[in-house]
Amino acid sequence: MKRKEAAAYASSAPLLKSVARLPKIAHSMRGMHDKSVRTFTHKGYKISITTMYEVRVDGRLVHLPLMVSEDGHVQSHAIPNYSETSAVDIVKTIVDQFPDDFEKKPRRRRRGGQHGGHAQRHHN
Amino acid sequence: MAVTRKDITTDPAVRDKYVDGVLRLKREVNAQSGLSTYDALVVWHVRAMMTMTPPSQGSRNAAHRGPVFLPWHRYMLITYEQQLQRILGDDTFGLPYWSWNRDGDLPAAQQTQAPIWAADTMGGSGDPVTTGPFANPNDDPDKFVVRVETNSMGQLVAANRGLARTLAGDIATLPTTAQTRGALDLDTYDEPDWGVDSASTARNVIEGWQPDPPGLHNRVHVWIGGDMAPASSPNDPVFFLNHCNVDRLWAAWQRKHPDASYLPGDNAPASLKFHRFSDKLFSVFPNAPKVSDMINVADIYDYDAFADVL
Repeated sequence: MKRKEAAAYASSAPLLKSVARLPKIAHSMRGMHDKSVRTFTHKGYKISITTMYEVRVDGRLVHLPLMVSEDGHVQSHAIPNYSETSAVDIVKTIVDQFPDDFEKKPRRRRRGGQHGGHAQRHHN
Repeated sequence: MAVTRKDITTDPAVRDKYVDGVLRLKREVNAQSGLSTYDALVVWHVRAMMTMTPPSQGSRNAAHRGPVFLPWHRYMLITYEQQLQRILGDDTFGLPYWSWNRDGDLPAAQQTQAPIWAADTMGGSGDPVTTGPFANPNDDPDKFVVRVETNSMGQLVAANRGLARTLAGDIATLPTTAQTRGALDLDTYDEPDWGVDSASTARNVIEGWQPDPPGLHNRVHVWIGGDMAPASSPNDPVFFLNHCNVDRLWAAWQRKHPDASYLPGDNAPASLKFHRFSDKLFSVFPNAPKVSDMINVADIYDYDAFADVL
């Protein structure tokens, strides 16, 4: 791409106008997106494994965007760069990263801090 | 004429302009919502993250976990660089990068003390950050304020607080130069199933899903933590320095493998929309360039150095 073409795209990209209001994310994290389907062939058999997670916090069903990769790592769009070896660890990390989402009495929103180092156990 | 992108820790003039540009973009506010031009980039990133490609699955999205990861972020960086040039009134300004691989070669204890975290550069760790140009420990509305973030479901929500970082809190070390060079040795850009499982493609290893996740790009996000952890990670101005280095790695890979093609091509199925060579990149704006437009950008910018990674 040439510089003048890039400038033309920029001039048609009204960034400030695009945030006149906070957009709602249309994508639903329920339904299809709770499932991970792994398909593979083994000894001539076509196999699929469908994984779904039902997560409850203090008995309350919470919809977390979880997925599992071919090698069994569990990941989440909520913390899109993390990769844990178990659903337990990824849910712990999400709870630690978003403390306000799980408090019984919501307070002023804050960012989560470090989460006890379970990522370190796997990756260092 | 193309601008030159430089290492932020080696050029104080570029560093100071970058900080000035960020603060100016944060002060350019939509009166209706209170969100800024800078915040619009955060929103755009989240919307790309939550646009599944195809919609029938929940892994690959319009900017991540698939082939378009590198071109889409190149497009975002070009857009951001143009905004900085506009607000600074300097069309020679090149977005700086942070060569995190060099810091990753330091002993772990020294990585959090590297020059990028100095008070005259990006500031350090904290919730909120208390040092540097983006510190706002007393929630001063005239200083750097996080106005929008994502929750545990990946949804956009309003915020009003200072920037947060937890350097080395979730993982002890940054990626090393040896790991980075290993990714650039791979001679295939991407391959089926076009996701996070291949250990032998440059895109997937640079993004950081293989061979031992989190690697490279992903590891930098996790190592910084705080606002670099959720989908709203462009809230931290370091996001763009990380991605500029990621883009430098792609540029280095392109130099090292001049005959390697971007994949998938146009004969790939419709389920790979947004990732194929001639597809338009995901955008919240009416016009967007194609993936193919991002392959050769030598007319727009170049990097000052590749010696550490090639």
